[in-house]
Amino acid sequence: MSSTWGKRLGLAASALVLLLLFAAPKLANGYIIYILAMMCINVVMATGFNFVIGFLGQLVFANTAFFGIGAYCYSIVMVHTGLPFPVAFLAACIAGGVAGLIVGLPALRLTGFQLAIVTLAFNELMRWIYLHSGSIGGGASGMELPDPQFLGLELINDRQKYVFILAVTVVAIWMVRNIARSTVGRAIVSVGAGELAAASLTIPPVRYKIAAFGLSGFFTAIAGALFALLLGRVAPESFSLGQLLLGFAMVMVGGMGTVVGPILGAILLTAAPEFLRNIAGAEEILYSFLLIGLLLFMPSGLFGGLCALIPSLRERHLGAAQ
Amino acid sequence: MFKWKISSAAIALAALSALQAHAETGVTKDTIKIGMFAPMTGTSAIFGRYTIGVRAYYNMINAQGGVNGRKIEVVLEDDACNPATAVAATKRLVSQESVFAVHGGVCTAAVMAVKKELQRENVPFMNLGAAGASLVDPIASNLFSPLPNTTVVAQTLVNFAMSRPDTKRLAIISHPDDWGKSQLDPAIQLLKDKYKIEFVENVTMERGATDITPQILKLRVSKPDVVLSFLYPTETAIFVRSAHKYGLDAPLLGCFGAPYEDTVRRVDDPDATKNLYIFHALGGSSDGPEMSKWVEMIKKYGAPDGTIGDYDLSGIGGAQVVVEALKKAGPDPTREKFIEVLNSLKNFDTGVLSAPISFSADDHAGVKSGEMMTSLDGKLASVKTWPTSKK
Amino acid sequence: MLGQLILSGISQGAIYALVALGMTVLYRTTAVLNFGYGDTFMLGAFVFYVFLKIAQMPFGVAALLTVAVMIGVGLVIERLLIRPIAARPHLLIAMMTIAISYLFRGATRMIWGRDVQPMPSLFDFPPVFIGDMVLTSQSLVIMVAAAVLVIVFFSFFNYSALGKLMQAASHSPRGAALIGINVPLFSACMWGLSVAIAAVAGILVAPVTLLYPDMGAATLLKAFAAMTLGGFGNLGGAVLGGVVLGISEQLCGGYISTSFMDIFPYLVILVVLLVYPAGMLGRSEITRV
Repeated sequence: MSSTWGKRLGLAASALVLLLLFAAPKLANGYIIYILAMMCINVVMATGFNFVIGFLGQLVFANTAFFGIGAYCYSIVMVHTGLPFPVAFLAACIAGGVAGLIVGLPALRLTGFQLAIVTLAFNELMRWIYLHSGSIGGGASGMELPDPQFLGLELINDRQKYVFILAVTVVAIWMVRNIARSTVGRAIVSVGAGELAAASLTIPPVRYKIAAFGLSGFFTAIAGALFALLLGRVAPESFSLGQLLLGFAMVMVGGMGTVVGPILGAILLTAAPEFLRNIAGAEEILYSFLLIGLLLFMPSGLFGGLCALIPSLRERHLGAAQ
Repeated sequence: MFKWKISSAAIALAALSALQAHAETGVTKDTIKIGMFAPMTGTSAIFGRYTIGVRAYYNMINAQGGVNGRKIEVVLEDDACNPATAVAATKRLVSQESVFAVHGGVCTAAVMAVKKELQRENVPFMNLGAAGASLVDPIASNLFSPLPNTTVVAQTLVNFAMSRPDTKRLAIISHPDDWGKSQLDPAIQLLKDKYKIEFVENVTMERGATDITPQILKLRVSKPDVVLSFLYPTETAIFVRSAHKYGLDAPLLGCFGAPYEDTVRRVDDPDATKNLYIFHALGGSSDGPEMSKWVEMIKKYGAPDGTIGDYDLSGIGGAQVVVEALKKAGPDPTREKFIEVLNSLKNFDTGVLSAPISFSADDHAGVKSGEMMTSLDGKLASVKTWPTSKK
Repeated sequence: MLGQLILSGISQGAIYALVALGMTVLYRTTAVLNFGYGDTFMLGAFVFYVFLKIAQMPFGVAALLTVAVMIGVGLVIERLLIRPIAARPHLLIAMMTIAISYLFRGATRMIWGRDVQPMPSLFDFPPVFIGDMVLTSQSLVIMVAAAVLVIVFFSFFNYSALGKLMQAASHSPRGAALIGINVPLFSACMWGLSVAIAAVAGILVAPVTLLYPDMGAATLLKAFAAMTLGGFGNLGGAVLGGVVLGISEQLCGGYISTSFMDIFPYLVILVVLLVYPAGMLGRSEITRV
């Protein structure tokens, strides 16, 4: 099968999937719509996270912090200022990007595990801040959010929200794909593969490391804002260590450092708990087996496994990194 | 011709669905579907035991013929005490399983996440075990709580403490989370409004903390007459142990969430628990005569998970109220009728809770009082005011 | 109050020191940071509970069996889960340790389900009163045992043959392999040692706290804070960092605010790593080309 046919098939399949997804509000019940919406949110979150642990290859535990910053920023603007929805949403994204840049700075000085630990601490600190955010952030009980309006359309029930979330997700993925193929993306990957080598090719590592963090924060915060939108409320309980590890797993299961990998991982790990939910206690153990199995036998994740079977699927921009 | 076939098919379909539409969601000829959600896994999994008594009760009703000829079918989902999971679970119950009503929720955060949604869909919602006062305040037309909430618990503890003669100095330890604050704030309020005093010391303890020496020392230094604690089960036990260890021997009051017998067992030191009083919503201790028939019921109709204790029994009051409302809603129950019956429920004695349940159209907090469990002369006793035999 | 807080801080810090030490041992000798170490510690406590309370064995026997079982667990994990991926990027190994932590937690949750297990307080000697301060027998045991263990460990590390081997291998695994040291066997020994330390910490702390599957998570973060404070990768630093963390945590709670106690370890990590990453006893890292 020549690669042009493969490409055409891939495009056709994607188009069909997109069509189904946009038609879903008419076809499926409220529960399915909600799960699809969560999938989209997790896709964006995993994709954002992938910038740092996949493309850049650094062990960083800050994904839930960015997620929470996006969610809370959106919520605070919606609740406390009278500003319209698009502004709140944009504010969340920018806040995430800025947070990413700030977290990126110490990354320049610290070694791998120290960075991991400092981001872990940062995560827990953010959670403490949410808990003690008093009247600004709702503190321990969280905040109830008003239903937004976007371009004259009301986003009240799940179906309306879902369409918006889906649209944002598609746009975000498209952006990430283009970034991955651009100079920035390739530079980030080469810095991740070997800083000194990258520097010898006149790619300044500092600039691209920080860029990776900023992008990670930006996209993860988008997911956070979408999450707050979907739930209609924000509370500290949603941003725990468990959430962090789930984000990790999504990227790992799907395949780090690729564009498609986190998408696959997010879809799988959003759907799976729905089926496994009522098996008492087994969740954690099954989860650990899954992770162990993957790490031992398929470290490039599901997508890596697929690429091994169908080489034409491989993302060409990554070259030797895969 | 093609068009004609379609339109006749459409008419037939419409007629059929019109007939179908007569039956209420979740109600069939011989079943009524009730959806339940509770933390069955995760760190709060122990609270999942609330479902045990409830399911046993529904099974018993079914064994006795059901409600107006219909058997109750229970669908249980796990929410792992996580708001997002609770939303997914509830949506599955409502949109996929099409339940008639929901009887669930033990974590307040989880219930609050689904409160608005259920109200929008107008699904009747009986609280299973969540204690937050925010469940019913502001009131939602479809959400009922058949248990004492955090405001009631806080006020009961304060009143009980002040019923001790010559008590002027109260101290308090609580969790900084929503659950803790929703008890701390009413306690501070009541102390100020009714007794015109403030707490002499107010410390917090993080959930999961194992050492609270600074907290105990601060409390001891403030020389309290009584210490109130609004902590989860494990932390309550740690608190009682630590208090004893460092010589804080003021009487200790515990809240709803850590049953007395369980705490005593966990602390495992009779010297430490001799001055302990814990809020109790049930009509007696779980191994006493008042609860024995319910314990038997769970053994016969339910699936007990170890020794039957307070958690297993606490949800039964709500189950009784659900069944009562279903009965009174008649042979053609609708969600509106169900809610209407609940709103008119007055002084319903469950035989499980220490106080009867009452609802009205503008008050869905069903139980407004509780008692304190302690041991007097080596026996478990439930008291309303400070026992004269103890200091 | 100051004295009591310091005393309590030393006792708490002793546990942090042990856990941090065990983690540093593994890190220094195999470059693996075991994110599942907190849950290893938790598993140790539970295994001890099984031997002591359920099998009703005397304390000494139960303790020895616990350590033996845990060493076995450590060896199995090293052989089956770590060695196959030892050559891969650290990120993957770290993920594996996280997966292991989930495994331990899930297993304990499944067996002991939902409730919390109390341990009987051992050593029922009455507490010692030093002036206004009280020192419970349990705290005394923890402090003494931890001190003994640390002294034994450091003598072993600095004066024994295996200890010198450890020092060599931790400087350069390749160099060690070149001169004929059996690196896989060495790695297994280090895992066994590290897990044994966690087991001892679990045994010491089990009677003081109540056992539940999530007790490891908080300890892990405290251990990280201790390691960071003392100088990441420095064995003496881990112990020193643990004790200092324990004491300052208590002082913070007693004099500043109990709600700050909750995030104290995180603040320590952030402040140290952002201001002076080398910590108290560490050296600034020189990136090797």
